[in-house]
Amino acid sequence: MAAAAVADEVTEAMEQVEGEREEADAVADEAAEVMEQAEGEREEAIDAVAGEAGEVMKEVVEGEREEANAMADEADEAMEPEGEREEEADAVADEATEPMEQVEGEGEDGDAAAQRPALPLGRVKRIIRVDRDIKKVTNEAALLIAAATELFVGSLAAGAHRAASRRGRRAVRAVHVRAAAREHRPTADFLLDCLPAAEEAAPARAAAAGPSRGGGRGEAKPLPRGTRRIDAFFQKTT
Amino acid sequence: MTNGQDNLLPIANVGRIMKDGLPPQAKISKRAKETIQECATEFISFVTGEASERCRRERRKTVNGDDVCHAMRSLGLDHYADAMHRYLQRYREGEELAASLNSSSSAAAAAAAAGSRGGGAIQIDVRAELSIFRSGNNQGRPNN
Repeated sequence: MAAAAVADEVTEAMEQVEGEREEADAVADEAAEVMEQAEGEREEAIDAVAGEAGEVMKEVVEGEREEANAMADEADEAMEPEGEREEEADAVADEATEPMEQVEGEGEDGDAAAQRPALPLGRVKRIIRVDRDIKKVTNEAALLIAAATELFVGSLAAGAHRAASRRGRRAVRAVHVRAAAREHRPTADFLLDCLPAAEEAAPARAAAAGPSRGGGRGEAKPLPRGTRRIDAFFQKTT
Repeated sequence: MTNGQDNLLPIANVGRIMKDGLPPQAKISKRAKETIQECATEFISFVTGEASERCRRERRKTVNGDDVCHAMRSLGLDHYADAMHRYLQRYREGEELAASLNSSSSAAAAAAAAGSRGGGAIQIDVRAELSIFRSGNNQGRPNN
C-alpha cells in the first residue's frame, strides 16, 4: 500500500514537472513570436523609410531633369534660327567643295569616318579613269570598288601575316606579301604579273649591293683558256 | 605628290587597313605597304576592266554597281561579290530612305542632293562587312 502511494506521488510529481516544462516551452514560444514580430515591424519600418527616401530622391531627380529639359527646350527654340543658318552654310560649303576630290580620306568626324570606306573615292575614281575604255562610273560603283579593295587589302594583309608567322617572323615584309598573293587563288594570275618575283628581286639586290661592298669574296671568274692558277704550281705531282 | 603616286591609293590609308586586319603586335615594313598599295591599284583596274567589258558588250556607257558585282563573280571572287551585293542593297535602301525623307520640302531635298553627290546620305560600315567576310575564312584558299 505504502509503495503504491509512493508510486502515485512520484507520478504526480513527474506530471507536474512535465506540465511546468510545457508551460515554460509555451512562454518561450510566445517570446520568440514576439521577437519575430518586433523584427518584422523593424524591417517594415526600415523598408518604408527607405522607400519614402527613394521616392523623395526620384521626385527630386525627376523634377530637376524636367527643369533641365525645359531649359534645354527653351535654349533650342532660341537657337533654331541660328541652326537653320548653319545648315544653309553647310549646304553652300558642300556645293563649293564638290568639285574638289578628297585625297586622304581624313579630317572627318569619328562616326562618319567609321561609316565610310577607308579609301578616298576621289582617288579610286582617278584610278578607274586610267582605263580609257571606261566612259562613266556611277557613285555606287566607285563606292563598291573602294569597299572591295578594302576587303582585298585586308585579306592580303592577313595572308601576308600568316606567311610571316609560318616563317617565324613578326614583321610582315614584301616577300610575305608575294607569298600571300601567290596563295590568293582568284587574283594570283594578275597579281604575280604586277609583282616582281622574289627570285628576280634577289639577284638585283645582290648586284646593287656588290659594288658598295667592294672587297666581298665572290666566285672567281673563269680563267682564259691555256692559263693555270698559280696554286697548281705548288701542288705535289707524284 | 608625284604623278606616279597620283595613280596609286594613299599609302597611309592602305597601312591603316592593313593594321586593322592584323594583331596589334604585328609590324609592317614600308616595302610591304608599297607592295600592297600596288596590288590594290592593280585590283581596281582588274575589276573595273571586267565591269567595263560587260558594259561594252551590252552597249552601255556607264558602269554601275551591278556591273561591279557581276565582274567580281565572273572573276571568281564570289566572297567579294556576296559582300558587295549586301553592301549595294543596303546602300540603295539608304538612298531611297534619304530620298523619301527629304522629298517633303524642296530646300531639304536640295541639301540632300548636294549631300548625296558628295558621297551618299547614308553610308555602310565596311568594317562590319570585312568581319562577315573574314568569318567565312575562305579568302586565302583556292576558289576552284
